[in-house]
Amino acid sequence: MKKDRLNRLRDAVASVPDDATRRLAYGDALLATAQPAEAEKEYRVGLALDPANVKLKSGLAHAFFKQDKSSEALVVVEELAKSSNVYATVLVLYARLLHQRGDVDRAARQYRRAIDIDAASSDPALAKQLGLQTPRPVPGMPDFDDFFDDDLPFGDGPSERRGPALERPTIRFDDVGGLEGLKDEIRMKIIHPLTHADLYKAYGKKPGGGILLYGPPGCGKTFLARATAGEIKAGFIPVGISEVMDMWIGSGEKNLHDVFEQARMSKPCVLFFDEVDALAASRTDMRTHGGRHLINQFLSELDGVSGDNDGVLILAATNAPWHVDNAFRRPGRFDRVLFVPPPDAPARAAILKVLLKDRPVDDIDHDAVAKKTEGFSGADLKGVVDGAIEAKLKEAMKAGIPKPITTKDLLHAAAGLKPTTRDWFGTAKNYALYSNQGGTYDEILKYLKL
Amino acid sequence: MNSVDEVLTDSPTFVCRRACPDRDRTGLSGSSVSVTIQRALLLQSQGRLVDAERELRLALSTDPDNAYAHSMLALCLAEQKRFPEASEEATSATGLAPDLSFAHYVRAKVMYDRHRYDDSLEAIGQAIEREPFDPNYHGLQSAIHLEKGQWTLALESAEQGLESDPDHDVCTNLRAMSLVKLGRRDEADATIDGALERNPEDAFAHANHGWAMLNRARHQPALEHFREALRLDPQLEWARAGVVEAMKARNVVYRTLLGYFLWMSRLSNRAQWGVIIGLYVAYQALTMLGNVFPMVAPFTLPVITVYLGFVLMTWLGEPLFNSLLRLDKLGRHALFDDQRRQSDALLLLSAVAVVMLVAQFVFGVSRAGYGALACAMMMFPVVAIFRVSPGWPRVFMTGWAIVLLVMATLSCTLLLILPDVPIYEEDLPPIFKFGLGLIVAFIIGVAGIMIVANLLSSVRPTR
Repeated sequence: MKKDRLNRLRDAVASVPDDATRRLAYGDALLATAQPAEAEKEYRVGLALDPANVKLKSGLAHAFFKQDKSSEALVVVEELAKSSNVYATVLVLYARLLHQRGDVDRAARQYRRAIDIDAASSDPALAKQLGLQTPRPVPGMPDFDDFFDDDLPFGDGPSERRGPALERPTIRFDDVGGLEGLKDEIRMKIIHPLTHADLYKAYGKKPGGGILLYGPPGCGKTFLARATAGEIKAGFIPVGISEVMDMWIGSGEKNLHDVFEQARMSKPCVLFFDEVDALAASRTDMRTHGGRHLINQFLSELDGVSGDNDGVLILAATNAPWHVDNAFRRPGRFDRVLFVPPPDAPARAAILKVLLKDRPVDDIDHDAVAKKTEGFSGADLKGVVDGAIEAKLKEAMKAGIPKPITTKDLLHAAAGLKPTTRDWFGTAKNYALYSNQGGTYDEILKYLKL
Repeated sequence: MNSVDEVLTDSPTFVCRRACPDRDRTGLSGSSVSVTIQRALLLQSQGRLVDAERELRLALSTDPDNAYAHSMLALCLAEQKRFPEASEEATSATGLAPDLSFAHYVRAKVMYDRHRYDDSLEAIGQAIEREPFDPNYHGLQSAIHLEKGQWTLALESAEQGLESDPDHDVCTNLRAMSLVKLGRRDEADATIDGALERNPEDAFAHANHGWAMLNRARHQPALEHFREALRLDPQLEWARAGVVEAMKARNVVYRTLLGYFLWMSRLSNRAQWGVIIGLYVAYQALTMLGNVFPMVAPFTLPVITVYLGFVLMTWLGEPLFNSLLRLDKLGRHALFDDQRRQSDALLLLSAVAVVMLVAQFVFGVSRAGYGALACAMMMFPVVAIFRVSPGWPRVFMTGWAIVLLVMATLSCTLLLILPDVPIYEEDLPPIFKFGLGLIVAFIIGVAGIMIVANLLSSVRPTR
């Protein structure tokens, strides 16, 4: 039967080769009979005839996917996903492709978009992989908190449909090694205004404003932000670079507003902007009006012009604070700029302990390794441990006997690595020395003992 | 011929880093640029080069013939200093779209970054032929001419760019730089003033103003402009180099020396050699005159002394004042790594020389003073290392300097351990002959490294 249909469609295409609709039908049939390469050809010819045909593009994306051409498929579905009339099947495919790339948050978002458009497009297996198997609660239901306790990667309500996932971090400040000064600052600025609201009111101190964390990459800025949310048992909405990129290219202002709305509906909530310099870049650097609009929207959202930000705690992190527009540092916005340095020796020892947990080790002197890894970030320390393990594995392969990791192995691995924070400090030093208006970078000068 | 000159020849690079034509001018704006490429452009503009590269490769996996994506990828790779790959992408782009001016511009930019100025000039010519009114293209052409020491052509290119866009920052700055090189200082000042009037936050214009001021021996206002440039853009190394020079120029001796360096930097390579050889010939003539006519010797001697002092200072003045700058907080941090290393090496040699002199004159160690002399002479090879560009010239010079150091150490050791023997004796023991030969070879080696360093100082290895 299928073969007959295929033959009929092929004849139909042969009789009118310039008909894109026939090409589409034939392509779909080929795809259905597991002939994706042939289907791709038909879709391509069809698109040459009708370049704007969304169905042909959608078919092409599926044909790519079936042939394991994930990159090609991704490019096509990204294009299609921008449209408001996108097919649910395309979004499911988009989610699958994003999941393959390890971008679970975005994958979950696209999957939910698909289900919102057409519930029949659901794919339980994919949903399970994305951690979305639990049915979404009905808005306004009293089990709101229980819902969060399930640690699902998304919240509720229409505003967050396209927004980042809402989390409930379980980590606390106690889980963050060192950084006591920073934790105190965050307590004073964010936690105490919530827990001691009356006291703050009595002193006429208005809560609000955000904190901008900056420092070299891999030093725990994001972890600290999560711990802040965990400390006050608040929701946590991380906005990463992918979301920001989407905002610049898509309908950014609306998306940004949606994110803030999602946070406002999930009070108390920590809204965390990672790599905020991508969103809050200096407006003088922005060539396009679109860019300025998005930045202005961000400023007005921070000011609470379009909604009440009480109970919404805003944190942001960046490796390049010098690219953040000064307007963001005014009172009520990111009025505290805090330096997150690389971990100190006790913190490094603590990180090493965590990294080596459940590994075959032989009486490791964590302090000795910490002493020899001055300037290493948490990510660098992970590199040290990975390096030591790899070397040990090679040794075990040769000897045929597994041996535990020793302090010497770690020291050897550390000696072969340079701290990645060095480049960052090279740049930061210049800003601290020459562009330190208002003492913004005094902490860097202090850290570098300049 | 010296590191100041190197900084000056580096300056167009700083300008050109900022020159990237708008996407709109490439004829590929709007819907023809895919989401992936838009994202890549955004990431690239934010300096997230690895992410941008990933997006561009993604775009190319579906559209391998997209010349614009190949060009953008070439720029992205060049910024990551992955030059061979960048060249490959740029060549692919011009092959795929020979009529796309932007592809030729990118190829020119990559060749420029690789110090392949002739290829770069050829490519930018192709871009201008296809799009004669893009000021960025003329800006790059001007920068290439500046690198090649073709000041008049550099000025012409910058002015052509300004015809298309009279307010174009890059072309304005390049015009000013060309005018400074041509000695038309008033016009240069007016050009920079205009640039700063339009955009008081133009870090490069401030740095440009600073260098123009230094050319007029006005170090204090120059320092202010350099500081302002650094405040606006702390990563602008050209301004940082200006801070170093302006601070050293507080000293009248260095100010004179800097005046000479800057004057020399305005001359062509051939003219620079003319000056060096001319001065040397004059020195030899004066020496001969003093020998032949002893009565004029009292008049020639001071001139010869000044000349020798001057030659010495052109070699040791800059590192010496760099060392002094380390006593100042701002100066200490403004120094570049190379300058610091050079200063460290000279300080170490000075310290060893002092120890040798103390050993000779305080503790009576016979012939230890020769060690001090050897240390003083070793300063020239050390300076020679840093006088040439990084790459093979630097490696070559370092190797030569190490050989000289070994020779100096051996000679000094022999001098210290061997007994006194009159060197004019005919039947010298072989070890003495070897020692004497070593000393002669060392002296010739030091003279040689100085000449070769001067020859190689204008060489910029391709990347």
